[in-house]
Amino acid sequence: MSLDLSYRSEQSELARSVDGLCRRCGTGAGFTDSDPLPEQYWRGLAELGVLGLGTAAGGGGALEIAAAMEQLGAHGAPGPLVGTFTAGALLDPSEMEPISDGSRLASVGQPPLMPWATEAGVFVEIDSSEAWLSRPVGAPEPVDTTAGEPWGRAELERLRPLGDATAAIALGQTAAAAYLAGAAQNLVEIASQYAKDRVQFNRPIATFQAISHPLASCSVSVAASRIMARGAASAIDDGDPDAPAAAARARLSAVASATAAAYQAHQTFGAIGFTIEGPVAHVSLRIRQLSLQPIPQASARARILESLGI
Amino acid sequence: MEFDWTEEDLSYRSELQDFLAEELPGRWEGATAVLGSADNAEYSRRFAGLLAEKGWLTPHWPAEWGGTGATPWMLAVLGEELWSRGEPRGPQYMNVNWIGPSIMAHGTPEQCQRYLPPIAAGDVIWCQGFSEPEAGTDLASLRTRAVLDGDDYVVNGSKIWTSYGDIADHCYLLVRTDAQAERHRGISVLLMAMDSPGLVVRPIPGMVGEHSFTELFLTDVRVPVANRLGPENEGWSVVREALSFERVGAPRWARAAHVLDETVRGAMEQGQSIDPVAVEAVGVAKTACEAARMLCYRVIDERARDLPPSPHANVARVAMVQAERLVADACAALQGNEIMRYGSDSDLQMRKSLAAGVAAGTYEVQLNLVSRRHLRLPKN
Repeated sequence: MSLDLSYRSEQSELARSVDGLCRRCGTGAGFTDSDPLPEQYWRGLAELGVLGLGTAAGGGGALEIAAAMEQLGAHGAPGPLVGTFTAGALLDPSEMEPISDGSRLASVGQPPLMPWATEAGVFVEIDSSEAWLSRPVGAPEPVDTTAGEPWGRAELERLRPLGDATAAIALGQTAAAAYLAGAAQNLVEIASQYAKDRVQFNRPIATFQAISHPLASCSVSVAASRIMARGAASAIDDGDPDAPAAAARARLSAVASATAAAYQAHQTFGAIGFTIEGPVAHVSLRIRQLSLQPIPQASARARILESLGI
Repeated sequence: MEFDWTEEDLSYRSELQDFLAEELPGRWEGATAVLGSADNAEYSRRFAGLLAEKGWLTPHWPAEWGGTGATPWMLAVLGEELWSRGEPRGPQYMNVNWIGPSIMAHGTPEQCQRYLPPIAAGDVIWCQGFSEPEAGTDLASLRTRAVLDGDDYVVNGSKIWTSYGDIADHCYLLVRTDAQAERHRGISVLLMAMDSPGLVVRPIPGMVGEHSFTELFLTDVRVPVANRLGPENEGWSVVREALSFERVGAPRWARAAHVLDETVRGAMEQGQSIDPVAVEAVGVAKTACEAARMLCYRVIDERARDLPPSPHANVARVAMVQAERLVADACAALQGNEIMRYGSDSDLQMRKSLAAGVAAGTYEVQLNLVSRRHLRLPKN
């Protein structure tokens, strides 16, 4: 076997473009603005072709999605990203076109509480194995979330079965894993930098093992999650039958390492980490939000057990 | 060994629960129930006044200052019941737990007369001016200077992460009164009026509540010498003693345990199928809450026996942080997306759990104290 863990040059180029877009649209400390989805940013993603990745019209595959999502995670960037990529693997090209060009948002989830429901134009109900194109009966009741996303409670009417959702779920979980790994990697990096800069007791706090060891431990699990996300993406692109289980493993690994990294970033930054304007709070809340998508973690665990014949 | 509540404690808890069911009906949540929000603080003025009328605001204080001779156990019952409901005393829990007792222990008769009755009446809000931009965990490196000028100290400097600074009437302020002394010496406590000229308060929006924090900028603020608490330059020992009351005075585990119970109840009511991992997470979190409860009781037992403060308080605080985090994780496992509904109990618990290891002294410092005092490990 050969193992190449780095992105190809065009994937790296895409990652750089996404990074540049986020730098232009964010506030410097990331997306701390109160606008849940800055228009310039979402349109920019569409123009870069990110929102259509993984579709026949948009081109690219899971590795391109992973490369983009790592960057988006590093910036704590907002939007129905996981839902968009999940929908891309389920919908017809004509249904997908307005989502890919950024004019419509996709709400993909398990009713009644649907992501981005009050803003969405396309609804996809998904469970652990199947999906349906749906529409809300009446206007969704707005539900604000901790991470500042406009969700909504809606009764969905199924319009059309979209069939087996296994591949779409694998892609969605891989996208979520890459985002979470990117977010966690960034948190560990900025926390490490802060620990070098912040002086208490006449020394940088990084010289206390109580600070450095947990950060080191987080960096190990984050590194593993990042490789697992890339590995799952590669398996999807190669049509590997293990891809759904690999995606489930990558997603659960990323949830665990990102949650731990968020705790540790808060511990390292102290009070400044809890400010709205600071570099940690909005990312740690988004990590919590992303950790629940696109399907419950229990379904991911079930997929892994199934792959083991249990 | 006695592992049971007395009849008196049980009937007190029951009476208290009836009172709270009456006073905190239905939707006691949202902004009002977010400790640190202005709504919560304003609510506390009414609620703490009602508690005071019942004799339940400062029951552990001496009769002279409005107490009723309550035992530390009754105080623990009060703390548990109130914290499990999101602490409707708001910032005033600090007044009764440690600011009042600190004034009682170190204040002049005039200071006691001036400051204690309003605390006992439940209509005054205090904040603590401790942290500074360069003095967080290393609090003893604080630099805000107070220089004697006639009958006043003239104070210059800044404080940060001060909860309730925008609504408080008074501040329990730490200042440096001797710049030459070794850092733990040369610190004094001043009781500063928050309407003092030269004091500017800036809110810092936080993720745990609306305007959770403020920053205080002090420019030539004059605080009368008569407002110094305890001897000049000995403020460090005054505040250390005060904070030993704080460690278990805020039974955060009780709120976490309540959120866990309610979340489980909600899931059962909806007939939700609960996967084995969520079941395990709930079991682990419940156990952690019980561990924190028992370790807090060990501290209360010491207090009930009039024993000197011990490392048990640090152990209890570590266990509380662990419980808070595990409950948030269990709620996420149990509720899925519903945990993210802004302002819900479990959402608040999740956000509080992120702050649990930093607020009121970091988790790492508590571990240091446990290793030194409890395990007797060397300092470096």
